[in-house]
Amino acid sequence: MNPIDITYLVTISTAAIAGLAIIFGLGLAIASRIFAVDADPRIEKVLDNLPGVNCGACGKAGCSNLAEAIAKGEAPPDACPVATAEAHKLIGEIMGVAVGAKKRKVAVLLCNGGNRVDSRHDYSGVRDCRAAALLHGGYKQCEYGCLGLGTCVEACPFEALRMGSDGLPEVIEERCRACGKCAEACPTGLFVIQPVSKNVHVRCKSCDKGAVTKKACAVGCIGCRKCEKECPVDAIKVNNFLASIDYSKCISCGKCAKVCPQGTIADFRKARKAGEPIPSVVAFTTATAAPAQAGEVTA
Amino acid sequence: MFEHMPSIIIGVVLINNFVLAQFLGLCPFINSSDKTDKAFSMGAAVTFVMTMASFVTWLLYTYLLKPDAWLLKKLFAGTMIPQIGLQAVLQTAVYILVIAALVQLVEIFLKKKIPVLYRSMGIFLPLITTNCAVLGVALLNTSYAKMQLTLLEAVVQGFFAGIGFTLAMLLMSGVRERLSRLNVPEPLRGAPLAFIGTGLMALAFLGFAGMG
Repeated sequence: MNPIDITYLVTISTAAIAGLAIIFGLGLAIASRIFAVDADPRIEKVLDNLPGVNCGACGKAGCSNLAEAIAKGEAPPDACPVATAEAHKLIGEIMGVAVGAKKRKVAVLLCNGGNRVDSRHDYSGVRDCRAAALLHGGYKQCEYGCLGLGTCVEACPFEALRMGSDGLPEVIEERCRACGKCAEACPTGLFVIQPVSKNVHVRCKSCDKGAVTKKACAVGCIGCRKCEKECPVDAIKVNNFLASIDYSKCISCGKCAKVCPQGTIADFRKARKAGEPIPSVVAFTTATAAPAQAGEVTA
Repeated sequence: MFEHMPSIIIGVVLINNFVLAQFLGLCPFINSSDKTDKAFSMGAAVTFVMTMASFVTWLLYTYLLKPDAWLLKKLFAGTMIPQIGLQAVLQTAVYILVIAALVQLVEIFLKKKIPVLYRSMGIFLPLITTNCAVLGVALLNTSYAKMQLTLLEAVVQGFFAGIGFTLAMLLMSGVRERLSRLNVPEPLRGAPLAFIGTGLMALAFLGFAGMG
């Protein structure tokens, strides 16, 4: 009896399985040709013009699903809120439909605290804002503010968020496609998605009483109502010690930003025009305001 | 040629029912048994795969894998291999390859010819590949068979194993359709109650044991 040659055994076994696999593969390839389903050629073309991030902002299950819906006529060509205006136009051409221009929206962070706010306890848990927020409302003195652990930065499929050195995420507006993933991810709901034409924002969400807010954060809203009195269109109201802007009324005149003693209300106009990233420190322009920290100029 | 047929058929449909006596293939069973038409279509797909798989795997086993197989004698003449056979080593991989290819074929066919069925079965169609009932029938026809089966016997066993599976699913779907109209407590609704029902049905089918 000859001894078993292991190499030969392994070779034959591998060859056998490989041979079977090739035969079945060929068989399946032929079958898929015979039983090919006629797909609308426009679906491929539309899919090429979609971003391909499968973020789900359109409400469909991924880009292929939306491409099918657009090709069937169930969704308008500009259904993807995240695609550029060019892409909308191209999709419109494929479908033979004219596409109007849409207002560009971006995400805005409504908090200016970050590292300015002290911690109340040492947090050594999971480095995720949602986890930190579950524990006693977060480890910062202000329960409403940004925890700075970067959950939003991870959530953004377009890399339009970057964690700044001041503990606040920075929105890179050219990259932001207003898909809303950061707003979903933030446990304290600090992001709003607003058209680029809206330049004035109240960068605070703290409903703590004025004195408490001031102790926790030097730039938080204390609910003094100076902005409410100044607004020409009654767009800004103070409720529960927090000023909030009704964006449907706001005309972005910036008058409230000028009178805010805390520097909470920011006017992004200058920074946006200059194409700079929206900085987090606000230089105050009123006499009663605190001196600017870290001395950066802003809108 | 047909002496063993009755015992094979009754054996695999009633006595050793794949779902209720051997507890194989519970995943599609629990998931596709809530409506009768779903149950029937899943049963039909599984029956088809089981029949084809039995056919191809019997051929592979007899001519390539088992001790004293024809190909083994040719390739490994003079060594111990034709005596031992390669089935212990290659069986699982080869059978799964065959089953996966067949399930893909079924998918391609259904997508073209009956797209409604394809969409309603969803993810459970490719899951037939990993269904232990199909691999089980292939193994039971070949290495774990109590007596050597001919090709016809193996294919018949495969076909009726699928029929037994379909029977169990149809029975279950009838029960579940009625259960869906009752006021079941929240924690038990759906799959939990289906499992309890399956267990009770299996107890009932125990009555067939000892007939073989």
